[in-house]
Amino acid sequence: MLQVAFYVLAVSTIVSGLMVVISRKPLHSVLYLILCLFTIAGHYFLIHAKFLVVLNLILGPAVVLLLNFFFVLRFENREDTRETRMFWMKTVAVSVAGLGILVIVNLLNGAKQELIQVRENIPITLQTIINLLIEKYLLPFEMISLILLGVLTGVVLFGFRKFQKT
Amino acid sequence: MMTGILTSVQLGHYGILAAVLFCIGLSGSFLGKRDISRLMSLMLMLNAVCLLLAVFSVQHSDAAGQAMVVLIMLTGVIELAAGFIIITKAGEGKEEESAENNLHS
Repeated sequence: MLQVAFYVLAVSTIVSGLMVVISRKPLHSVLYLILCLFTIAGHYFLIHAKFLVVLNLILGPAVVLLLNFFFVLRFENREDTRETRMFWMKTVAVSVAGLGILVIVNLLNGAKQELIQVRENIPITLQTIINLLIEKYLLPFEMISLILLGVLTGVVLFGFRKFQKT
Repeated sequence: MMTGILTSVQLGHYGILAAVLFCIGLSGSFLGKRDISRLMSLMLMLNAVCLLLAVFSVQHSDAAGQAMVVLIMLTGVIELAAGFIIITKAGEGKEEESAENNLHS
Protein backbone atom coordinates (compact mmCIF):
# COMPACT_ATOMS: atom_id res chain seq x y z
CA MET A 1 0.00 0.00 0.00
CA LEU A 2 2.75 2.41 1.00
CA GLN A 3 4.77 1.33 -2.00
CA VAL A 4 1.88 2.17 -4.32
CA ALA A 5 1.48 5.56 -2.62
CA PHE A 6 5.22 6.19 -3.05
CA TYR A 7 5.17 5.33 -6.74
CA VAL A 8 2.07 7.43 -7.43
CA LEU A 9 3.62 10.37 -5.58
CA ALA A 10 6.97 9.88 -7.31
CA VAL A 11 5.42 9.83 -10.78
CA SER A 12 3.34 12.92 -10.02
CA THR A 13 6.40 14.69 -8.59
CA ILE A 14 8.48 14.00 -11.70
CA VAL A 15 5.66 14.87 -14.11
CA SER A 16 4.88 18.13 -12.32
CA GLY A 17 8.59 18.95 -12.14
CA LEU A 18 8.89 18.37 -15.87
CA MET A 19 5.82 20.50 -16.52
CA VAL A 20 7.38 23.36 -14.52
CA VAL A 21 10.22 23.39 -17.03
CA ILE A 22 8.21 22.59 -20.15
CA SER A 23 5.15 24.83 -19.67
CA ARG A 24 5.10 27.85 -21.93
CA LYS A 25 2.87 30.00 -19.76
CA PRO A 26 4.50 31.12 -16.50
CA LEU A 27 1.18 30.88 -14.67
CA HIS A 28 0.99 27.16 -15.48
CA SER A 29 4.58 26.68 -14.32
CA VAL A 30 3.73 28.25 -10.98
CA LEU A 31 0.73 25.98 -10.50
CA TYR A 32 2.78 22.90 -11.42
CA LEU A 33 5.51 23.97 -8.99
CA ILE A 34 2.94 24.17 -6.22
CA LEU A 35 1.66 20.71 -7.16
CA CYS A 36 5.26 19.48 -7.03
CA LEU A 37 5.72 20.96 -3.55
CA PHE A 38 2.52 19.25 -2.37
CA THR A 39 3.67 15.88 -3.67
CA ILE A 40 7.03 16.35 -1.95
CA ALA A 41 5.09 17.06 1.24
CA GLY A 42 3.38 13.70 0.61
CA HIS A 43 6.79 12.04 0.49
CA TYR A 44 7.69 13.65 3.81
CA PHE A 45 4.45 12.28 5.23
CA LEU A 46 5.38 8.79 4.03
CA ILE A 47 8.69 8.90 5.88
CA HIS A 48 7.00 10.32 9.02
CA ALA A 49 8.73 13.70 8.90
CA LYS A 50 5.66 15.58 10.05
CA PHE A 51 7.32 18.90 10.79
CA LEU A 52 8.63 19.05 7.25
CA VAL A 53 5.14 18.27 5.94
CA VAL A 54 3.79 21.31 7.71
CA LEU A 55 6.75 23.43 6.64
CA ASN A 56 6.45 22.35 3.02
CA LEU A 57 2.67 22.79 2.96
CA ILE A 58 2.72 26.27 4.45
CA LEU A 59 6.03 27.93 3.66
CA GLY A 60 6.76 26.74 0.15
CA PRO A 61 3.41 27.21 -1.59
CA ALA A 62 2.69 30.42 0.30
CA VAL A 63 5.90 32.07 -0.83
CA VAL A 64 5.80 30.61 -4.32
CA LEU A 65 2.13 31.47 -4.75
CA LEU A 66 2.35 35.03 -3.47
CA LEU A 67 5.59 36.05 -5.15
CA ASN A 68 5.07 34.21 -8.39
CA PHE A 69 1.49 35.33 -8.86
CA PHE A 70 2.52 38.90 -8.20
CA PHE A 71 5.30 38.57 -10.72
CA VAL A 72 3.28 36.64 -13.29
CA LEU A 73 0.27 38.95 -13.15
CA ARG A 74 2.51 41.96 -13.53
CA PHE A 75 4.74 40.79 -16.33
CA GLU A 76 2.62 38.21 -18.12
CA ASN A 77 2.28 40.34 -21.22
CA ARG A 78 5.89 41.36 -21.34
CA GLU A 79 7.79 40.24 -24.38
CA ASP A 80 10.29 37.48 -23.90
CA THR A 81 13.73 38.94 -24.44
CA ARG A 82 15.63 35.69 -24.22
CA GLU A 83 14.32 33.89 -27.28
CA THR A 84 17.74 33.65 -28.86
CA ARG A 85 19.44 31.51 -26.28
CA MET A 86 22.77 30.15 -27.37
CA PHE A 87 22.80 26.69 -28.86
CA TRP A 88 25.77 25.52 -26.83
CA MET A 89 23.98 26.39 -23.62
CA LYS A 90 21.06 24.17 -24.58
CA THR A 91 23.43 21.36 -25.50
CA VAL A 92 25.30 21.71 -22.22
CA ALA A 93 22.04 21.72 -20.24
CA VAL A 94 20.65 18.59 -21.88
CA SER A 95 23.94 16.70 -21.72
CA VAL A 96 24.56 17.64 -18.08
CA ALA A 97 21.06 16.55 -17.11
CA GLY A 98 21.30 13.28 -19.05
CA LEU A 99 24.76 12.44 -17.76
CA GLY A 100 23.71 13.30 -14.23
CA ILE A 101 20.71 11.00 -14.36
CA LEU A 102 22.76 8.17 -15.90
CA VAL A 103 25.61 8.42 -13.40
CA ILE A 104 23.37 8.68 -10.35
CA VAL A 105 21.05 5.86 -11.43
CA ASN A 106 24.07 3.61 -12.10
CA LEU A 107 25.59 4.48 -8.73
CA LEU A 108 22.36 3.75 -6.93
CA ASN A 109 21.88 0.46 -8.78
CA GLY A 110 25.31 -0.65 -7.61
CA ALA A 111 24.70 0.39 -4.03
CA LYS A 112 23.33 -1.91 -1.37
CA GLN A 113 19.55 -1.88 -1.52
CA GLU A 114 17.99 -1.39 1.86
CA LEU A 115 14.53 -0.46 2.99
CA ILE A 116 13.69 2.79 4.68
CA GLN A 117 13.43 2.14 8.40
CA VAL A 118 11.77 4.38 10.90
CA ARG A 119 13.02 3.57 14.38
CA GLU A 120 10.10 3.88 16.71
CA ASN A 121 12.08 4.19 19.93
CA ILE A 122 14.00 7.26 18.73
CA PRO A 123 11.27 9.42 17.22
CA ILE A 124 12.30 12.64 15.54
CA THR A 125 9.86 15.12 16.98
CA LEU A 126 9.53 18.85 16.67
CA GLN A 127 11.15 19.11 20.10
CA THR A 128 14.35 17.40 18.97
CA ILE A 129 14.59 19.50 15.81
CA ILE A 130 14.08 22.75 17.71
CA ASN A 131 16.58 21.66 20.36
CA LEU A 132 19.15 21.03 17.64
CA LEU A 133 18.42 24.37 16.01
CA ILE A 134 18.83 26.38 19.20
CA GLU A 135 21.75 24.43 20.62
CA LYS A 136 24.00 22.79 18.05
CA TYR A 137 23.07 24.82 14.99
CA LEU A 138 22.47 28.16 16.70
CA LEU A 139 25.14 29.97 14.66
CA PRO A 140 23.80 29.02 11.20
CA PHE A 141 20.26 29.73 12.38
CA GLU A 142 21.21 33.21 13.58
CA MET A 143 23.28 33.80 10.46
CA ILE A 144 20.25 33.00 8.33
CA SER A 145 18.10 35.39 10.34
CA LEU A 146 20.74 38.10 9.88
CA ILE A 147 20.92 37.40 6.15
CA LEU A 148 17.12 37.57 5.99
CA LEU A 149 17.21 40.93 7.77
CA GLY A 150 19.87 42.19 5.38
CA VAL A 151 17.99 40.94 2.34
CA LEU A 152 14.74 42.51 3.54
CA THR A 153 16.45 45.85 4.15
CA GLY A 154 18.18 45.68 0.79
CA VAL A 155 14.99 44.78 -0.99
CA VAL A 156 13.08 47.64 0.62
CA LEU A 157 15.83 50.10 -0.33
CA PHE A 158 16.04 48.61 -3.80
CA GLY A 159 12.28 48.73 -4.20
CA PHE A 160 12.07 52.43 -3.39
CA ARG A 161 14.94 53.38 -5.66
CA LYS A 162 13.89 54.85 -8.96
CA PHE A 163 15.36 53.19 -12.03
CA GLN A 164 18.24 55.23 -13.39
CA LYS A 165 19.06 55.22 -17.06
CA THR A 166 22.70 54.35 -17.72
CA MET B 1 16.65 -1.90 19.89
CA MET B 2 13.20 -2.35 18.45
CA THR B 3 13.10 -1.41 14.82
CA GLY B 4 9.83 -1.00 13.05
CA ILE B 5 9.85 -1.00 9.30
CA LEU B 6 7.09 1.42 8.54
CA THR B 7 7.73 1.91 4.87
CA SER B 8 8.54 -0.75 2.34
CA VAL B 9 10.27 1.50 -0.15
CA GLN B 10 13.92 1.02 -1.00
CA LEU B 11 16.30 3.79 -0.09
CA GLY B 12 17.68 3.86 -3.61
CA HIS B 13 14.28 4.68 -5.06
CA TYR B 14 14.17 7.89 -3.07
CA GLY B 15 17.68 8.60 -4.31
CA ILE B 16 16.66 8.07 -7.92
CA LEU B 17 13.60 10.29 -7.46
CA ALA B 18 15.69 13.07 -5.94
CA ALA B 19 18.34 12.71 -8.64
CA VAL B 20 15.79 12.91 -11.44
CA LEU B 21 14.15 15.94 -9.84
CA PHE B 22 17.53 17.62 -9.37
CA CYS B 23 18.48 16.99 -13.00
CA ILE B 24 15.13 18.36 -14.20
CA GLY B 25 15.78 21.50 -12.16
CA LEU B 26 19.35 21.76 -13.45
CA SER B 27 18.33 21.49 -17.08
CA GLY B 28 15.46 23.91 -16.46
CA SER B 29 17.82 26.48 -14.98
CA PHE B 30 19.90 26.30 -18.18
CA LEU B 31 17.05 26.04 -20.64
CA GLY B 32 14.55 28.43 -19.01
CA LYS B 33 13.67 31.33 -21.26
CA ARG B 34 12.33 33.54 -18.50
CA ASP B 35 14.07 34.51 -15.30
CA ILE B 36 11.06 33.39 -13.30
CA SER B 37 11.26 29.85 -14.69
CA ARG B 38 14.95 29.74 -13.78
CA LEU B 39 14.12 30.67 -10.20
CA MET B 40 11.46 27.98 -10.10
CA SER B 41 13.98 25.44 -11.38
CA LEU B 42 16.27 26.45 -8.51
CA MET B 43 13.38 25.76 -6.14
CA LEU B 44 13.00 22.29 -7.69
CA MET B 45 16.69 21.55 -7.09
CA LEU B 46 16.47 22.73 -3.49
CA ASN B 47 13.47 20.50 -2.88
CA ALA B 48 15.22 17.47 -4.36
CA VAL B 49 18.16 17.95 -1.99
CA CYS B 50 15.81 18.51 0.95
CA LEU B 51 13.93 15.29 0.18
CA LEU B 52 17.13 13.24 0.19
CA LEU B 53 18.36 14.89 3.39
CA ALA B 54 15.06 14.12 5.13
CA VAL B 55 15.11 10.50 3.93
CA PHE B 56 18.64 9.90 5.22
CA SER B 57 17.82 11.70 8.46
CA VAL B 58 14.91 9.32 9.03
CA GLN B 59 16.99 6.31 8.01
CA HIS B 60 19.71 7.10 10.55
CA SER B 61 17.20 8.53 13.07
CA ASP B 62 19.25 11.69 13.33
CA ALA B 63 17.32 14.92 13.60
CA ALA B 64 20.25 16.96 12.23
CA GLY B 65 19.16 16.24 8.67
CA GLN B 66 15.71 17.65 9.26
CA ALA B 67 17.17 20.69 11.01
CA MET B 68 19.30 21.21 7.91
CA VAL B 69 16.19 20.95 5.76
CA VAL B 70 14.60 23.73 7.80
CA LEU B 71 17.69 25.91 7.31
CA ILE B 72 17.82 25.13 3.58
CA MET B 73 14.16 25.97 3.10
CA LEU B 74 14.56 29.27 4.92
CA THR B 75 17.54 30.15 2.74
CA GLY B 76 15.59 29.13 -0.34
CA VAL B 77 12.73 31.40 0.59
CA ILE B 78 15.13 34.30 1.12
CA GLU B 79 16.77 33.65 -2.24
CA LEU B 80 13.40 33.45 -3.97
CA ALA B 81 12.13 36.69 -2.42
CA ALA B 82 15.29 38.63 -3.23
CA GLY B 83 15.41 37.21 -6.75
CA PHE B 84 11.84 38.18 -7.51
CA ILE B 85 12.28 41.72 -6.30
CA ILE B 86 15.48 42.19 -8.31
CA ILE B 87 13.86 40.74 -11.45
CA THR B 88 10.81 42.93 -10.93
CA LYS B 89 12.93 46.07 -10.69
CA ALA B 90 15.01 45.05 -13.68
CA GLY B 91 11.80 44.49 -15.64
CA GLU B 92 10.55 47.94 -14.67
CA GLY B 93 13.80 49.42 -15.91
CA LYS B 94 13.48 47.63 -19.22
CA GLU B 95 9.87 48.76 -19.59
CA GLU B 96 10.78 52.39 -18.92
CA GLU B 97 13.67 52.17 -21.34
CA SER B 98 11.53 50.71 -24.11
CA ALA B 99 8.80 53.32 -23.46
CA GLU B 100 11.38 56.10 -23.78
CA ASN B 101 12.78 54.56 -26.94
CA ASN B 102 9.28 54.40 -28.40
CA LEU B 103 8.74 58.07 -27.55
CA HIS B 104 11.97 59.16 -29.21
CA SER B 105 11.58 57.07 -32.34
